[in-house]
This record gives sequence, C-alpha cells and structure tokens, in this order.
Amino acid sequence: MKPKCESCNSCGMPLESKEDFALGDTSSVYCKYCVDNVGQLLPYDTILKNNAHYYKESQGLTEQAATKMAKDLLKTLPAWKNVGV
Amino acid sequence: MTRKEQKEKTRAGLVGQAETLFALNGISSTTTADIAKALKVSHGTLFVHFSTREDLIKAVVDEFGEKLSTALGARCSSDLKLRDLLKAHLSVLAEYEDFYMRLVSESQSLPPHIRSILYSMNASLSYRFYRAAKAEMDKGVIKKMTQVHFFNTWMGLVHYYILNRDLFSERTPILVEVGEDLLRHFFHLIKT
Repeated sequence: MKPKCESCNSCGMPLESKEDFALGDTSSVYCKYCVDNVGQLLPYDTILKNNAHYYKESQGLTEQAATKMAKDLLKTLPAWKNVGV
Repeated sequence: MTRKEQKEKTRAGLVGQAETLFALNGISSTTTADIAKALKVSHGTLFVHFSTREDLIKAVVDEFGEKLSTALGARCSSDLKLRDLLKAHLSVLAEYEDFYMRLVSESQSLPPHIRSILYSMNASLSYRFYRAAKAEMDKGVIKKMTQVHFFNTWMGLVHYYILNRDLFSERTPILVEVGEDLLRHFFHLIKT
C-alpha cells in the first residue's frame, strides 16, 4: 500500500515529492509556496491571495468566489485555525 | 486484535458506511445516527472518531481525493500522458460514481469547507491535466486553449453524463458504459 500523501499545513497542497516541501526539507509541514527564502511561514493575507489565485486560474472562479473558497479552506488547516474567520 | 487495530477498523467502517449511505440517500439527507445504526455502533462511538458530522464527510471526501491523487500519478510518475490522465480520472470517478454524483449535485448545499476541498481537488486536477495538455498544444497535436476552458470543457462533459446518468444508460457506473466514447469525443474536439 502506498503511503498516504502528506499535505501542506498551510494551504493543503499535496506534498508528493521532495521538491514540493519548503526548502526541499521533507521534515517541513509546509510546501514551497507557503514559506519565504528562510523557511518562515508567509503571512495569512499572502497565503489567502495565493490560494484564491489558485482557484481562479484553474477553474475561472470570480475574485469574490475564489476568496471565499480560499478562506473556507484555510480555516480548516492547522496553520490558520481560528485565523481570518 | 489490539485496541488500536479495533479503533482503526471502526473508523474505517464508519467512513465506508458513510460513503455508502451518502451515495444511496444523499449527503444532506444522511444523519450521523443513520450511519451509526447501519454499522451497528452507538451514536456516541461515531463521535469518538469524528467530533462533528462535517469531519466525517471530510474523511470520505479525503479518501476519494487520495484515490484520485494516487491514480493520477502522485508519488510515482507525474509525467503521464494526457489520455492516460483522463482515463485514470474516469476510472476513479466510475469507482466512486454514486458518491461523486451526490457530491457534485449537492455542491451548493455542502458545508462551505467541504465545498472548498472539492474545488481545491479540482484545481489540482486542472493543473495536472493542463500541464500534460500544454505539452501536446506546444507540439501542435491539440488546439491551444486556456487552462480554464480546457478543464471546464472536460468537467462539463463528464458531469453532464454523471448527473443525468439515468437518461443515458440503464446500468451504472455510467462512466464504464460511456467513458471510452466520451474520451474519444473529447479528443476529437480538441485535436488540431
């Protein structure tokens, strides 16, 4: 049985290969998109904006729908529980 | 069986039972009491494993997402060709078709974070499909189009048949019946 795929504690992105992890460090709980160049978690507003962009670019959601969806997703993830609600 | 194994077995049983009842009666119409009763465990036992009903729905959706991710090459090969990716997509949707139909048809009334997970999974699919499609667009094999148009055209076609499956076949999964034909038609539409 294949190991269960881990996912980023900040945005939920599946961490499928070493390159997906923050700074290529497989012990990190974050993906490469959610940290700065020293591995520090980016601010909530930046992650929210990036996540909304992800919904928009992939499926054409409106800014408003994408932002709401990103907020709904982030509030369930360990890094942002009780933030931005 | 150790206590831990028993606990894992009950949890897996609850997820499996939830998926069956969601598929049969709808996600919104199925209560936690229905799920516990069908598995012959107490209602309280269910809440030992899932603190809310939404957590249980999420566990079912996560299991489906994990299956999709594995079938589409996560952790092994991310350079599957477009046709293989779309075929793998149809195959997992066919396996989960009863549940997936509920997920799509009830999308607007799902708890918001469950809906956000569904569309996040779709976003992953969109990027994965488009990366493979873009390689074929660059070679001139298929028409150039935006990621949104490419992905939404595919999903529109597949969802139409799933949501109206009673009209197109007397057997389910509909995607086993018409999947090959949909794939052929989709490539006919996008080829140059």
